[in-house]
Amino acid sequence: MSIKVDNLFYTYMANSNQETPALKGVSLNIDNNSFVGILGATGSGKSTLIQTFNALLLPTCGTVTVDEFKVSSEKKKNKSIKELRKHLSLVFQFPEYQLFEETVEKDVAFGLKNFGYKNEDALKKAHEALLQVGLDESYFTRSPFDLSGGEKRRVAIAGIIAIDPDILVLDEPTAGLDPVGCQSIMKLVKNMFDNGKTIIVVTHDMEMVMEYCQKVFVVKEGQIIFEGSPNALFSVANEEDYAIEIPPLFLLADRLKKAGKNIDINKIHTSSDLIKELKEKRHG
Amino acid sequence: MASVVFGRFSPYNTFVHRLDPRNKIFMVILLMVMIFLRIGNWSTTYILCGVYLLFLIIIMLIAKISFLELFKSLKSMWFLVLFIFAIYVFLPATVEIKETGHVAFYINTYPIYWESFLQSGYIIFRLIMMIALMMLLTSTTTPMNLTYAFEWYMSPLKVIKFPTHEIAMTLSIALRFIPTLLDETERIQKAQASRGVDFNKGGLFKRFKAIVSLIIPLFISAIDRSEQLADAMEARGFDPKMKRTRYRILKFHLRDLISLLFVLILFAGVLTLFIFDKNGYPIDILNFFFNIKTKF
Repeated sequence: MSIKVDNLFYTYMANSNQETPALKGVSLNIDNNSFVGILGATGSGKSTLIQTFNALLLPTCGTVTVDEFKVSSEKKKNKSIKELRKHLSLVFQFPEYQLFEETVEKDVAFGLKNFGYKNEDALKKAHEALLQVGLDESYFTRSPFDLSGGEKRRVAIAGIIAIDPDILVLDEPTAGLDPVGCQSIMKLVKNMFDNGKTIIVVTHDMEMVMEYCQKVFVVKEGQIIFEGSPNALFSVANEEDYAIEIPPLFLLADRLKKAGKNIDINKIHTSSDLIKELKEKRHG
Repeated sequence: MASVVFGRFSPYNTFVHRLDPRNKIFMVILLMVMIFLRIGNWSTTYILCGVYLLFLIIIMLIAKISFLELFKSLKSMWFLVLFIFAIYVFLPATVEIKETGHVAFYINTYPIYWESFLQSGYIIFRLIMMIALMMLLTSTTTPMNLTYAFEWYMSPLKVIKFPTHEIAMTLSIALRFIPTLLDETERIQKAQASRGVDFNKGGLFKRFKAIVSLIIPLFISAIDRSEQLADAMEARGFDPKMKRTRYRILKFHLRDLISLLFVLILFAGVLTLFIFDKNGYPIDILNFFFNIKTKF
């Protein structure tokens, strides 16, 4: 499934004395089965933008089109919102705060039941999702509140991926996790991408962006100011005011290239890519 | 966003906003009492109501409070208003109304009195005025200042070892967390909506489940927050039994004196009229000023 955002405006507390515009004319396209990053400083409007994708916020003006679903300012026209939310799921920042059931499996099955699955089917799919996020049978009947932070987050994410959406939107999925937790979450997301899903992440973690994203959008003051590949962003980030930190790996590759090494920066996403590139060019 | 009956603080800096909160609370109480004093016959009562309303509108204009906001908070009251109206009009009238009242019409042989309409209208008016005055207070005074003022009013109780400061602290923390919890509610509501919860549709059980999915996370995060806050306070050396100095000190300015005098004079005037009225000198404004005699 692809997303098309057309001239989107959103204003918080419209028609009051505290009205604050958050999005000012955003247009973008996200292709089917792509891995997209949305970047920008705090308060730039990224979170507002992703919340319009599954109609949690209705735009003040403009439209969001997700395949046959259309989200616009008129409430009456947005009939199939629930159907849309089945296909496009949003994982909020710190999703562990949305857990509430007595057991892990029940919590994961909760979303499925809301979307009309029978109890047994829901539990079966819940178990599959839990195994997918790396939580084995011993976790199924435990209380989600006894788990560690990282485990809680995996349960919450399992609750979303169990719904099996075509598009998965994650708001800072790795915030506040230890490095191992981060990696396991990102592996999981990558796995979903490899299975044909469209992934959209909002993040401040540039190393993650460099490693996984195919394309990034930079949001500033409610407008898209950059669109392109992560490495293209990093190579111009110094000159522009994008409020992002260039990852050390990119800086290293850039320095090496400037020092005369013959490497293709666009191919480098991880440190092993860089090593491979250096080795090849030495022998070649 | 959940609608709050008493308006949120509106961040302006008008004359009303700058008044001392202790003074504001006192004036609001005086005005409320004033509104509850019924004087003279119905025409006089309603003329005075008109004067109060005009007075309120002028203050609201000075304080830059939007009338839309007031109507919004009144909107949730429409059922109560209807209820009061029905009770007063259709239930058997009081003895006083039966003896002196004027029948508007009969339902079969059951009399409906004009006075019942007037009575219910008066009660609804008072209700609206109370809400408007409370709104005036809460939207021109920050919660912090309100609690300081409450603490000041409770200070005589310190003599009997009443923990005024602790209560004020609890109150201010509670008030401080209202917007935070509202934001949190909205966040969790959205997260659950992404999991297919529909808060507005479905049968009783489904709705109950939807509410549970909202309340439990809310409780957990509130408890988490309070633990963190307690730790943070302790880390900064908070001791409830210590005597503390204060960053903001309430001051009584000239503008407070002027406004207080104005309200006091108004109150005294109304009180005098009330005492005259109750002691055998009935007040009838229409008759007194315009020589018009009405039956109400």
